Amino acid sequence: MPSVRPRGKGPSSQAGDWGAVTTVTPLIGWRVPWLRLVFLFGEQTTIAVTRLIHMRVIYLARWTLLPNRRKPRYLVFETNWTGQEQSYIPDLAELMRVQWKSIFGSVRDFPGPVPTTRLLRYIKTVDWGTDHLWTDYDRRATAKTVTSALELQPRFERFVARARGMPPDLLAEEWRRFATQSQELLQS
Amino acid sequence: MTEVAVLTRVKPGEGENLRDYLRGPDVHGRVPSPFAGLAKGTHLARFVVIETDAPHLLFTSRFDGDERAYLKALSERREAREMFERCVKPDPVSQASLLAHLSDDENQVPASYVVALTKPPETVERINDALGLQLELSTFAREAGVSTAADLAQAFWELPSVQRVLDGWA
Repeated sequence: MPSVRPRGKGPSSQAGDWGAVTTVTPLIGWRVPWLRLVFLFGEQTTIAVTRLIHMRVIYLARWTLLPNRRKPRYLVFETNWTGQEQSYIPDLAELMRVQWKSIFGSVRDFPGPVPTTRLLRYIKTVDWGTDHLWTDYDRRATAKTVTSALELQPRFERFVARARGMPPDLLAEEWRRFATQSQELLQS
Repeated sequence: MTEVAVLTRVKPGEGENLRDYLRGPDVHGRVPSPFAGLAKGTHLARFVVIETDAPHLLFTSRFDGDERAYLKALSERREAREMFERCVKPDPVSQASLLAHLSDDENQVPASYVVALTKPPETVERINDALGLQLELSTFAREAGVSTAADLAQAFWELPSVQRVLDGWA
């Protein structure tokens, strides 16, 4: 199997605040059944990624077996996030050590999630970045603003429902309470 | 929300040319992107030339709506056809052949595991609406801080976001 070495990311690996990584790594053949089990477990429950979702930094992580699921020889890992790339991968690795080991323990030369400096060096050798990245999201969109905006919307609709018929004094008081309680969602 | 991933072998010697072509279009509109002409329903999409045993073009997208309609619209974009002219298939590249290629199970590489922050029923439209609401309320919260109760109440009921909520109930 030939070595896989990217020649560096393109300028389109960033789209607005969005960053992208696309790693391609050769699989360790005898570990493939284990990897299938890990993915199967992942599809059944979100328990292993709850902390990841709560980070509100990563938008998407996708693992694909190439050239196909029947006889895979490579693992492709695609991810999109918002924020600093230098901190994204280390944060992810620190927070998700077991998950990283469970998945990337099945690819060749994986150095382990920590120390993260070694992991970052490794990622650079297998990351093809993205040659063209596109999103139709508003330019203000980040993983954090998207999740907080989606949380704010129904909360606001409930507030409007409650506010109907309120006298101005009470509405002003209730609005200030709402704004305080929703501060984190409004500031995103 | 639909996901599609297609892996296509690049013509020998065309890997770098394709990479350069793909890196040309950008989100600032200096060079058209194939996605720019589609209905606004793409959450995130990427084209990237990767190398396994040979250079391949990997196209992945997460979008709203029907896969066939999305791929048909993409196949109609000149920029998309120009990308695939640097690939082994389809040959020759036309709207019909590209649509057939992108739709073919043999070329599609479904993900084994996906973790995503947004899930159905969230659409691009709903997400952008929510972001608009967030911006409007953030601005209102700042400005309302020094208003009298009467002014605040009047401004509140005049907020476009409030009007939309009320219209939705009407």
